[in-house]
Amino acid sequence: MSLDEDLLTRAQQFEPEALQTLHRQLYQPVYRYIYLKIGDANASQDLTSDVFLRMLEALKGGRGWQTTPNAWIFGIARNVVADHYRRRERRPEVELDENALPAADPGLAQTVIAAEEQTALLAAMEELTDEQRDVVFLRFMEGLSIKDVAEVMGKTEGAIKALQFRSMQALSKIMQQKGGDA
Amino acid sequence: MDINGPQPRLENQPPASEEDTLAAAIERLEAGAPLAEVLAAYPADEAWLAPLLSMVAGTKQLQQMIPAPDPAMHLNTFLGQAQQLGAGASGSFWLRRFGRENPIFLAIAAFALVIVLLLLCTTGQQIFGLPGFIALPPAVVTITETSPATSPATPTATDTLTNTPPATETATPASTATQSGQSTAPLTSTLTITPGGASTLVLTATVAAAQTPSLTSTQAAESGELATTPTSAADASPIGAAGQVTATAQITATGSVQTETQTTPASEAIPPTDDAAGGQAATPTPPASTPTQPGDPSDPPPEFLPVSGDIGSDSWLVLGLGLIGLVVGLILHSVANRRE
Repeated sequence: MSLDEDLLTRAQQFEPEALQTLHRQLYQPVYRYIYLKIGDANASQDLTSDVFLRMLEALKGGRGWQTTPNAWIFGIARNVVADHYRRRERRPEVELDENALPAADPGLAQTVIAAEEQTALLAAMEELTDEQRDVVFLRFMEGLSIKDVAEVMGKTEGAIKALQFRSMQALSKIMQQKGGDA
Repeated sequence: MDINGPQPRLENQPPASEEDTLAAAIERLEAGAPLAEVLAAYPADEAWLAPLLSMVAGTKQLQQMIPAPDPAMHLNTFLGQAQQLGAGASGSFWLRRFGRENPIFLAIAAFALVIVLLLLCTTGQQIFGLPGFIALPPAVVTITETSPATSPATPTATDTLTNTPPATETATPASTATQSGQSTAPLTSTLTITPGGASTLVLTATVAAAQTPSLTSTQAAESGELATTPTSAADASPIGAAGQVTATAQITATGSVQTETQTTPASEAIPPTDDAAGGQAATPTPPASTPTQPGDPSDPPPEFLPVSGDIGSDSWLVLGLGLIGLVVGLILHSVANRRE
């Protein structure tokens, strides 16, 4: 996902075409990020709408990204989720709706792990800390650079590298445990 | 295993170099290198690196596992919000910019605006040490009347001084009028009205030879009118040689009138002006009155009233209205926030 800065500049002027392009490129990644964190499809849609509304307000106020648009939009999404937690005044019980997960794509059989393992891996991510899950999602699922992830999470690149290492190590260990249990 | 608690301290916690190694290996993987090739690049780390890179490769596929709704379903809502916000942005840009985001600025601006407006509307008053922008000049109205020159052959001050000052000289509450004349030049009658104080009418004539000018000043006490009229010789002060005669009529604020006539020998008389000595003498002209208003270039520079050391009632008024401006600014701020 890469956004042209000129695109966001035009979006700051509320050009419909620019906003439409922006929405098309960002909507699903933002939704997936939120869904991964709260595990509720309906609430994820609502919060995704909130993210885009906040984005419009920021654009209207002349604000925007400091480094990259990617880090900016996920930073907004992260704040929206944090506000969602604050409103509920409790930590969410993240349980992904497995019925909502699509059937395994036959093409995925060619990948490193099988579809069943992907489902297990997705479930294993629920056991990660919020920060570890953020790193896994932003860094690997959405392909953000370490620098962008550091900006989204407000950490240094070195801290993100350490989080990245620990996340992969934790996932590996969880998957090994689940494999052993099975 | 609960990993959502405190940050787990995993076994075999690697040193920083292993974190960097993983980061470098992932970069190779993202660049498109096969997993086997990446692992081959780190033979000493392959044992711990291989499972982690497998996890990385696995998580990259997870994006497909999370269903996301069609963006088109939300697009219309999004564009509608954008249109709404965009319209609001154009209509209340300054309110947003300096109201919602800078409420203090707005309040201070309102306060300053009130003070400036009051300074503009306050004539010559001192507000916090600042003079009012509209200063009261000492003269509100100045009227100049030029009477025709008299014949050089038979100069008489009486002729010139019989010009009754224009009706506009019947000014109240106070006025000062000066009429001066010379036998060979046009006479000028000037009325100066000043706020407050007494009214004074001064008539001055210079005569070139022994004359008995008829000079007098009368006053209609009821109306506060000052006028000049010729009187009998008995009321006038004769001068035996060339000189200047001045008649002064003064009406006080209480309505009483004092008159005085003085004569000055020619050696002490004020010399005639250039205009007075001009060639207009042979051609009498009708009297002409030229009222002028404050602000004319010919007016004297404005003078402000004496500065008072204390903050006067007007200053307190300004302070109060400034505070009202502050409150208005805060109200605007709250309105702007409500709109948001």
